[in-house]
Amino acid sequence: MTFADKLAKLWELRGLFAESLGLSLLIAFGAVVLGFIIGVILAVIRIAPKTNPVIKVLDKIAVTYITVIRGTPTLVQLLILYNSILISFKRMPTNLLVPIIAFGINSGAYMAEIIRSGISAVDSGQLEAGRSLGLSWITTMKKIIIPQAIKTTVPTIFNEIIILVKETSVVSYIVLKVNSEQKWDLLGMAEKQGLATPACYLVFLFFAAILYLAVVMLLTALQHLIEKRLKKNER
Amino acid sequence: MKKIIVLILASVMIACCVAFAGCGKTEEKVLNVYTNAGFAPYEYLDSNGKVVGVDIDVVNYIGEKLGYKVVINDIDFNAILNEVAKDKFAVGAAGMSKKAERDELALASAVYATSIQYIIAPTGTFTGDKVALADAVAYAAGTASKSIGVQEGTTGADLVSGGIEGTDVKATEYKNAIVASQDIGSTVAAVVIDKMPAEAICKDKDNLQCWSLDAEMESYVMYFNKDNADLVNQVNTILDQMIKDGLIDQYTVKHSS
Repeated sequence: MTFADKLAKLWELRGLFAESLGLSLLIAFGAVVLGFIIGVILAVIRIAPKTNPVIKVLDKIAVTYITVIRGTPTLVQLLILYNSILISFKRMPTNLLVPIIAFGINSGAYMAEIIRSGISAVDSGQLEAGRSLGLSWITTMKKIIIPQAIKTTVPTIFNEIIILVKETSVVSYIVLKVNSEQKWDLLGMAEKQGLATPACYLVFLFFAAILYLAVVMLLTALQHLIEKRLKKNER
Repeated sequence: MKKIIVLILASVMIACCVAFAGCGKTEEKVLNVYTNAGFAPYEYLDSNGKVVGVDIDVVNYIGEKLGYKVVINDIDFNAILNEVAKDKFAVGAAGMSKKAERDELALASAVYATSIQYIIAPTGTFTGDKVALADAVAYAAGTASKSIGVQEGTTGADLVSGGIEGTDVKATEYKNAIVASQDIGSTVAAVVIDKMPAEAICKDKDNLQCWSLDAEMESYVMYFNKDNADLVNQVNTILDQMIKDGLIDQYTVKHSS
C-alpha cells in the first residue's frame, strides 16, 4: 500500500474518526463539569473554619477522598468502578455515564487542590473585610473570594482539562455503548481500524495524535482568551 | 452563579432520565456475543465502524434462526471466556480453537472451521510450503532477538512455548499478531498465528511471507455458558446445516477478498 493509498483510506474513514473524537470530547466535557463541581465542594470544605464538628468530619472525608483518588492510577479506578459500583450504569443502552463518573471523580480530586490553592492565594484581608462588613462566611466566599480565586486558577484548571481530554484515551479498556451499539473513542477507533487494515496502523495512530494535538491547541487558545478577558480590570 | 448551577443540575438530571428511559422495556431474548475484533476474516472492524466477519455472520444467522437479538461486544481476547462463564446467554465467537483448558471454562459448540498455525517471517526465510517447528525455533535462535512473537492466549502461543522448551529462544507475547508482525526483524524474528490472519497480514507486505507450520489441524468452535447445553444443541444443529449448505465457506470467501 502506498502512502497515498493509506491517506485515501484515512479519508474514507474520516467520518468514523470524527465520531470517535466527538465521543472522547463528550466524555471529557462531562468529566470536567462533574470534576469541577466535586472540586469546588471539596475545596470549600477543606478551607472552611473548623469550628463546626460537622465540618471537621467532612474535612476528614475530603482529605481521604483526595488522597485515595490522587494515589491510584485513573485506569485502575475506571476498571474498578466499571466492574463494581457502576455495574448498573454499565448495563444501560448508553453507558457513557460510567467513564464520565469515573474520570469526573478522578478529576475532582485534582480540581479540589487547584481551587483550594487558588482560594488560599487570595489576600486574607479580603476575607476579613467581607466579614467585618457583616457578610456571612459563605456569602464572602461566593461574592468576594471565589471570583478572585478563579483568576489565578484559570491556567491550572485548563491544564487539568487538557489532561482530562488526553486521559480519555484509555477508555477503550471498557466496552462503550451508545443506543446498544458499541462505539470507540478516538484512540480505540484508530487502533481497531489499524488492526483491520494493518498497513495503515501507524498512519492511523499518527492521525489520532494530530487530532488530540489540535484539540489541545484550541483549548490553549481559549485559555489565553479567557486570561486576557479577566485581566481587563487590571491596569 | 445560582442560575448556572441550576442549569447544570437540570441538564445532568435530564441526561439521567433519558439514559434510564430504556430500562422499563420488557426482556427480549438476547445473545451476548463476545469477540475480539482484530482477527480478520473472522472478526474485524469495517469502514462503517461495525464489527463484521465470518464469526459475526455465523452468530447473526444463528440468532435469526433461533429468534434471538444478537449483541456484539468487542473486548480483550483473554476476557472472553470469563464473560461467557458469567452470562447464561453469552457466546464466545472469536476464531477460538477447541482446547482442553477452554473446555473447562465453557461448553464448546460443534466445529465450524478448521485452521492451522502459520509462521510469518521475512520473505525468503524458509523454503517449501511447510515449516517444521524445530526449524522455526532454529531460525529464531540464529537472530539477534532470539524470540518468536505470539498472540497471548492463542493456541499458537501454546505451540511455540512447547517448541522453545530447552532452547534459549523466548516467546514474546503480544495482544495482537498484527502488532507483533510490525516488530519482525527487531523485537522478534518471526510471528506464529492462525492461517487466515497470517495471510491477511502478509497480503499487503512485500517484505513478509507466511508459511504453514507442520503442526496439527485446529478446530474453531464457539463457546457457550456451561448451564446452557440446550442452546449448544440447537446451535450445533444449525451449524451442521450451514456447513452442508456451504454457507460458512461463502462467508469466508466474502471476508477474505
